[in-house]
Amino acid sequence: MKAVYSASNKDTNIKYKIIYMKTLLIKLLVTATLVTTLSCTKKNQTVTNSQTVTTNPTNNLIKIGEVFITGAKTKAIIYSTKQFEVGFNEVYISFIDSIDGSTINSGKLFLQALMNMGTMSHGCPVENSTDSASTNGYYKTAVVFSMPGTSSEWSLNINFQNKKNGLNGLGTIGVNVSNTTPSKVKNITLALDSNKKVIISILQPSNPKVGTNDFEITIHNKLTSVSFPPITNYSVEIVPEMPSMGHGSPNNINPIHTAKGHYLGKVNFTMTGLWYVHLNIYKNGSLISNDQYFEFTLQ
Amino acid sequence: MQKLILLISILFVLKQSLWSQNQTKDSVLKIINLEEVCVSTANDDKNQSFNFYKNNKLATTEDMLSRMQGVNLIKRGAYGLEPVLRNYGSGQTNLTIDGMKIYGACTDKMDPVSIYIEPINLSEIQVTHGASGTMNGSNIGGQINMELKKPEISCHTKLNGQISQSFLSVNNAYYISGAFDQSFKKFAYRINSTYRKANDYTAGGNNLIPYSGFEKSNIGFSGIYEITKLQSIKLDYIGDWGKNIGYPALPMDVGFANAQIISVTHLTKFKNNLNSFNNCKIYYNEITHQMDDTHRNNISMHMDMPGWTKTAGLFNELNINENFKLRLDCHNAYARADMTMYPFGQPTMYLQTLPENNLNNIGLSIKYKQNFKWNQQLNLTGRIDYYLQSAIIGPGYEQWKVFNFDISENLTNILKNVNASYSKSFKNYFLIQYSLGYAERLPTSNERYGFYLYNRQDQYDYIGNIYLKPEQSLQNELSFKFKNKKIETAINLFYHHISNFIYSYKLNGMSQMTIGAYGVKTYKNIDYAVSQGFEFNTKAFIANNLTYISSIKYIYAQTYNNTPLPLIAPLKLQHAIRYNFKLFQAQIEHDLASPQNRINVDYGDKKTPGFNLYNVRLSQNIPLKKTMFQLSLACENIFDLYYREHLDIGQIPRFGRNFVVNLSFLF
Repeated sequence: MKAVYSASNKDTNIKYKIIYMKTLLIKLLVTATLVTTLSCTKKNQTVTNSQTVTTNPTNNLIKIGEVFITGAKTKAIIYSTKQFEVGFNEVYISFIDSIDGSTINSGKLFLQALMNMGTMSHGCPVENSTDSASTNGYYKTAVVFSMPGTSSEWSLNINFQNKKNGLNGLGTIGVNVSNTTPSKVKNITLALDSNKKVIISILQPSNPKVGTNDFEITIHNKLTSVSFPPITNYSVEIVPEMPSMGHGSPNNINPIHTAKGHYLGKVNFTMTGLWYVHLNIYKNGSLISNDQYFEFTLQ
Repeated sequence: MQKLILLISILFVLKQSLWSQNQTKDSVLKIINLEEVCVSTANDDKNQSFNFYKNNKLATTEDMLSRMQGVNLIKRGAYGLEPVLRNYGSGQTNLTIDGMKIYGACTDKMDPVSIYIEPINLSEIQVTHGASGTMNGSNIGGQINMELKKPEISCHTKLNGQISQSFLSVNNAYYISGAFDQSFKKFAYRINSTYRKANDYTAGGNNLIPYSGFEKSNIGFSGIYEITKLQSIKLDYIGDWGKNIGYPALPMDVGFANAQIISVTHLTKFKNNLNSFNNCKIYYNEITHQMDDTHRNNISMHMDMPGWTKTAGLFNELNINENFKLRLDCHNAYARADMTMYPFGQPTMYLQTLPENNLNNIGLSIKYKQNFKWNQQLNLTGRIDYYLQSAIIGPGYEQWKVFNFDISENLTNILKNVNASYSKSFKNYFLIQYSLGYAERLPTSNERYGFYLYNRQDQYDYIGNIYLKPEQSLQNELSFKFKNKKIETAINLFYHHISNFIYSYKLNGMSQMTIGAYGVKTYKNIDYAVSQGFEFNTKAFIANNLTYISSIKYIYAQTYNNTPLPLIAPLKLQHAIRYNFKLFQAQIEHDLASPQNRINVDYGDKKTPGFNLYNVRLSQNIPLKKTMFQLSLACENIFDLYYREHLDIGQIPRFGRNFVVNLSFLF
């Protein structure tokens, strides 16, 4: 049956078929490349580099208030990245010459934060700069507010040694400190470390996301009501947990001490939702605290 | 009891009609025409079982698959059985619909794509094992192609149709399907539809299996228009909507599973040669799948687990002559699966269990046949594939950063497949065939990008491995066939060696995500695995009215260090004897499975006892003028055996005794 048709027919047939095949192949290849390139472009979206550090922080700063440093003929303007809240707050202060209105770039700052509770007062950890000159017109410091308070309770004492005119002075400004929920500060007493009073604050992740996040805490010792030296010799282990499921996350990097009581590591979140990051604190290899955790909600 | 009375009365009516039957000889042929108008390109022997069992209108796609040569099914519920070719699962085989690529959207493999197709959509199922089945895409296990039924253009206006409905006693299920064909001079179309609704079924001994009901509807449309005598254009659409599909073996059910499958085909015939034609098809399909736990008790929290796949493609199949076929194809497949959890009084939790990813593929395949003198034949198939896969930047990509992986990296693979088979026949009675093949398969998206995907079988969470290499398989097959007027018999022996076999690997010290899981596993390429076995099929015409069909299949598969591979079906015999008397047909079936004690404990395999299962089916055709009624009755699992098959996930027992009544009307 199949071998019946004539030879002449066969030849023209084959020719036709070959031409047809060629055009089809070209058509298909073109479409195929189109499909592949199109789907490739879909994927190559620009990577949003959310972790870029702004080189000049002044753009993001908000003004908290200003106060005259009596004695130093200077006005201090206080800025921060956000309104003050319980926990770690960056504080940027710029000094203005009261006479000519110019920015003072040379001088030494000593900052103190005080909580006035009527009969008694206490401070909180402050990171003072040892610089004797400003950077871009600002002196960068930080305060770890340990509790909320109004501007009649919390105050910042700004001591300034004006190198321009050689005068010293002090200005005091009341500040509002709002509460944070969940709390960004833990005030604890470590029975296993000679009842040491310790303040732990969480800095990062400030905007937690699924994936890998920087994890940063500070640990300070409440030595007296006004002295809060950083603790630099603890080692910290972090254990993330989703409380509703009981699972953790892999490949976390335990924070290690960098400077000034700051401990830096990496925490991984595998999904959105509520996460606890538990802290196991060790001193000289022995566990001294395992009941503290910070809470994060990922949207 | 009411059911029983109903059945008995139907039997009585049937018996009456049997004796009083005034048969017309051609009416049986008419059914066969309706059911089996197929332009078969595959080896006819392989469709023997399909044709034999398809005659029975009660069958589902899965019923038919389960009886085909070398096919086993993994069962997770009353619906949605995953076809396995020999021991090759869905990632190692290639399942296509009319040559179209389609990917299931469920990360738990609840939706093998065969569930989106109804027998009424189909003209045939082509199963090709091993390296010879790579025409439609690289794979090592073979291909299953479900050919859609085409409307036929005939010279005069014609109208055909069928309506069929069934009732199953085991789960009070009601199935109805209908098809309607109309043909004009230059145009023909076919519409078909199926609706199935089933409640929870009872296993042997009247054990109710909770969460096993389902509901689904399916609509198919196909239209063909003849542009010229040699060219025509065809449009196909299938919509399938599954609802509340219970999965007793899994901790969740399926809320809905929807598929939209659409294609346009341009068909060209070449003058003077029936075997010379070209098909060019452009297609798109989309599957949306949502797992659901709202019907379950004792859940710790509510979860939504939807999944999506979208596949678009294009292929051109050129049949230069009956011996030479060329296929060029490309496709893009998008896949994503999410999990959202709602803990009480806490913020919702979200993750992508399968991060969004794109697979791009272009491939070329060739099939060539050459006859030599002394009845020798050489069949060659070859395929080369280029794959490009990468994850899309988004939540899933961020999640993977916890493992320090950049899954947006482009993964490219070039896969090669080749198969040569030589056969020689002796006096048209006896044929011997030897095939040597080499095939490769791509790791699946789950194996590459899966993020804590829970596997019910071993109760581990699986994370993917983007550095997996493709599996490579070297395959030997030897078959002997004997055929005369009385008997057709074939035995196939196969030996496959799979290098870089993708195997699960326990990750110690990692915490699982799923509540109740034992730990975390990933995939890695192991040295090799070996799979060997045989199939033995017989069809005998014992007497004029009596046909016997049987198939025996056996697989022995293990890794390089002699660990048995998981989910390997035991030795199984399925045979049936059919008696035809005029318009009456009776069929007794017996399935025998040996126990499976060679198991993979690490993968959660459990030993499975053997069983003997008996079914009986009766059918009677009642012609009425130019139309035909067909009444079928069946009793499956006659002895109400409590049993399960080795591939049933979660050791959930199968249907107990089941009475089935089916009434069809053909016009």
